[in-house]
This record gives sequence, structure tokens and C-alpha cells, in this order.
Amino acid sequence: MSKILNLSVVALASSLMSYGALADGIAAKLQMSQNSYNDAQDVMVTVTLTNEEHVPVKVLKWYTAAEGVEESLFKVSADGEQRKYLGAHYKRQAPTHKDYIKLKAGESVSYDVELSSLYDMSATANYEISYNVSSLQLFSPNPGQAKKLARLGIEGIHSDSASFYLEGREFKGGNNKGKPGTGDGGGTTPDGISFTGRCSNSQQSDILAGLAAAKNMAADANQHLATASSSSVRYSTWFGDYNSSRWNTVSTNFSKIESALNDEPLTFDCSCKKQYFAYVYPTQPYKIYMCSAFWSAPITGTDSKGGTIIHETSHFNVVAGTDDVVYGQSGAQSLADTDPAQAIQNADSHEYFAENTPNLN
Amino acid sequence: MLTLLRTTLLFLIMMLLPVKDTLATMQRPTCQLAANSLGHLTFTLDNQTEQIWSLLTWQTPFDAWFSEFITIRHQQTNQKITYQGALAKRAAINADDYLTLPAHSHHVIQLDLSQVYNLSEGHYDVSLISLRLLPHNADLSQPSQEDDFIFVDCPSTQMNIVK
Ligand SMILES: [Zn+2]
Repeated sequence: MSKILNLSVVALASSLMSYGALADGIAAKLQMSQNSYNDAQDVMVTVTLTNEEHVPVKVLKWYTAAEGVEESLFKVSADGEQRKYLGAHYKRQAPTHKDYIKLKAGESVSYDVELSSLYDMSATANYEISYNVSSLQLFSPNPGQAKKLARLGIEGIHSDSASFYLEGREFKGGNNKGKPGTGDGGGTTPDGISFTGRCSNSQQSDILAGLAAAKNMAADANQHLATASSSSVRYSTWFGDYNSSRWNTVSTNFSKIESALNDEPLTFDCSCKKQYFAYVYPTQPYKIYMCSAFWSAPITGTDSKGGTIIHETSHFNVVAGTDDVVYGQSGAQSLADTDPAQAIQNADSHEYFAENTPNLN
Repeated sequence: MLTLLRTTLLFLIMMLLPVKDTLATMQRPTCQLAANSLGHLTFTLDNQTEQIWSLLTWQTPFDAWFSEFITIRHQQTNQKITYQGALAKRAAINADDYLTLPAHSHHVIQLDLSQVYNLSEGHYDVSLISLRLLPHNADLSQPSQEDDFIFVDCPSTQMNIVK
């Protein structure tokens, strides 16, 4: 989520820069590379903290983005209205020495932070952001220094604000507050698609592109099953030898998948950080948890975003109740050869039939 | 005479070789299941061989609860109990997906089945899908195919749930 940047890499228009400094202490500066965003773009901001003291200062890591954003570090407003922080709040022990980073006199450190997953940015508005943290424990594990800073009135780090325009996804339900009760941000699109688990703008747009592809794949699969002859190579490759009852089961599965994708209230969650593509609880339709391999998958084709959504939807017990009998294309092909009854129960077999890559008739 | 002896010896050695090979492949890790009346399942994996083995952790007790690797059936009705955990679609297998089983090692893991199965009082059969193992010389950085694995089955166990 955030990483230390080489400052020389960040060359930016000065009009987009804001600078805030305390008499003595740590100055915070925000930099953004653009001043207008659409709903598919992530909102990246570079935070630079500079020690303006003549002596080294230690800063509590939790209030920097050194290890990702673990606290509300920004004040964000949309057309003047404050936006709630959606990210993590960690419950912690009292800080110890290792929780502080040391900045030498004059030293700077920079972090990149993506904001659309941390603050509700679904509304089209002019946004204003500033770095704004304060804590009695912010500066030093040394009580003497903390007292001294408190006496000087230095209790936090604040930057000047930076502003930008964002064309939001405009979730329904008024005032872009998100679906009630989810508590972790997101919202519901006019098509009834909900997001939870802090999906960033680009993640939401990836999911919607994958969903559109999945709907096309499901329609194409149904079309094939309704019109193809029993000698279909596409069918036999993924589901084995023709048998009318198995063909009917597969047809029923795909018509249920297609109607689930088009008619049911789907929820996509972005909180999973595992190396999976995605996962679901088959007993809990229609929520799909997207994981890290999903974001780098192509939209269509083998193991694509569209295919992953087909795969996951097929797992729901109210849809097709498929299992993961085998994983992967070669496994699914040999399952079709050796055990067609299991193949028609296998989620990847449905996915590969729907993706139809390579293209078979 | 000497030639004949030599030929006989060679013949004997050739006879022994396949036997020795079979013995080697028979030596593989073993596993055990035990369930108590609270629905706690203890899975024990024993590598009593002289070699290191690698266990693919997908669809094993080390993967709870991201795959359905257990089958629980009610003994009287033979009804399968619905799995309520998650099913994950995975990317290609990589080295992190293996658990190393050193020679003469022993691994125990306990699962609370009530986390993902609705278990009422009664008698159940609990079984596990086959474990997939690779022998010590396998290259874990290469994607493995189903054919590469050596499958090890755990004997199923009985469980008597008391509430
Ligand atoms: Zn699956």
C-alpha cells in the first residue's frame, strides 16, 4: 500500500503541492500527480515528512504510512462535508522504542498512499485532503521530550490541504453513505452490485469489468448448450462423454449461474490479501471475496476475472453447488475423461467451459 | 564355474532390484484421524521414513477452512453434513504451498469441526480426501501435475457427538 519513494522521482507541478510546517517539529507535505480523477482511478497521494528540528526526532510509526495505513491519517472532505475513515484501527499495546522511526535533523521520508479505499470517495465532488495526526505519544518514547513538546504546543503533524475533483461512482441510496450495516465502506451501484471490504476505485472498476465478462460468458455457455449437437467438442472436453442427464445438469447449472449474475444482489469484498483468485462460502450467496491473484488476471480467457466470477458463482449451493474436485485446466480435462459425473460437479470445469479458451465448438 | 557363479550372482541382484524399489516406494508418511465427542478432530501426520517429504497443503487440515477436505456422514442416514466454510480458487501451486516433513517427524493439528459443520448429537463417519505428497527430490518451484503426486489416504474415523 505504501512504500518509501526516492524523492527525486517525484517531480510535480508546484500548484498541486501543499506545505505545512510547525514552528519546530515535523513538517508534512502532500503531493498528488493529478487534480482530477474518474471512478476507475485510484487516488494516490505522496506524503513527505521532514524533520525541521536541529536534533533527531523519533516519530511513532503507527501515525506514518511506514507499514501501510493503520490509523486515520488524513482529514478528507467532499464539497466541504467530512468523509469518514474506512480503514483499519489497530488495538495496540503502549508503544515501545521499536515502534518509532528516527528522522535525523533535516531528514525526509516519503510514502505513497491510495485514498479511495480508505475514505468514501463514491460521490462526485471537489475533495480536500490534509495530513492530520495527533497523539501524545507521537514524537518520542522519552517522557521528557514529550513534555517539552507539549509545552511548546506541538502535539501533532498537520499538512496544508490539497484538493482535487473526482467523478465518483455515485452509489444509490442517497448521500453515498454505502449500504447500511456493512460498516466497512463501499456502497451499492444502481445495478444492485455492492462493495465491501474497502474496494478502491480501480478495484471496483476491475470487478465490474469482470462481471460484465462473466455475464457474456454465461450467456454464451447457455447458447451453446441450447443449440450445439451432442457431439460438441467444447462440452466433451470439459464435461466428458455425452449423456443427456449430465448435459441437462450442466444446462441447468449455467442457466442458474446466468440468472444469479443478472438478477441477484451480488456483493464483492476486497479485503482478502491471500494469493488466491477469490473465495466464497457456498452457504452464503451472493458474496464473493476477491483476493490478490484476481487483480492481475485478464478480463477474459483462461483463469480470467470473468471466469473466476463464473467459478465462484457456481459454488453457491442455491446456484449449482459445485465443488473444487480438481484445480487447473489439465486436471479438469483428465477429470472429464475419467469421471464425467465428477466433472459436472467441478467448479473449474464450469469456468473453463465458459471461458472457452482455446475456442472449441 | 566362476563364470557361472558370477552370472548367477548378477541374476540374483537383478531379481532383488525391483523388490528393493517396491520397498522404497512403500515407505511413505502415514496419517491418522481421531475425533472426540465435542467435534474436535485431531489429524496426525507421521513421517517415519529416512527422507524428507513435501505435503501440498491445499485441501488438507492445514488449509482450514478454505477448501472442503473432510466428508462427514451421519451413520444412520448416510446423509452428508453441509460444509459451511469457504472454497478458494487458487493460482498455480508454488513452493509456499508445501509443508516440509523432515525425516522422522511428526505433525499434529486439531480442528474444531463445529466451526464449519452443524453437528447435532449422533454418530458420524469422518473421512479426509487423499493427501498429496512429493518425495524429497521433487522440484517444488516447478508446477506439479496430479500425476506427480504420491497419494496417501488417511483411514476414516468415527465420531460420537454428545451435547
Ligand atoms: Zn472453487
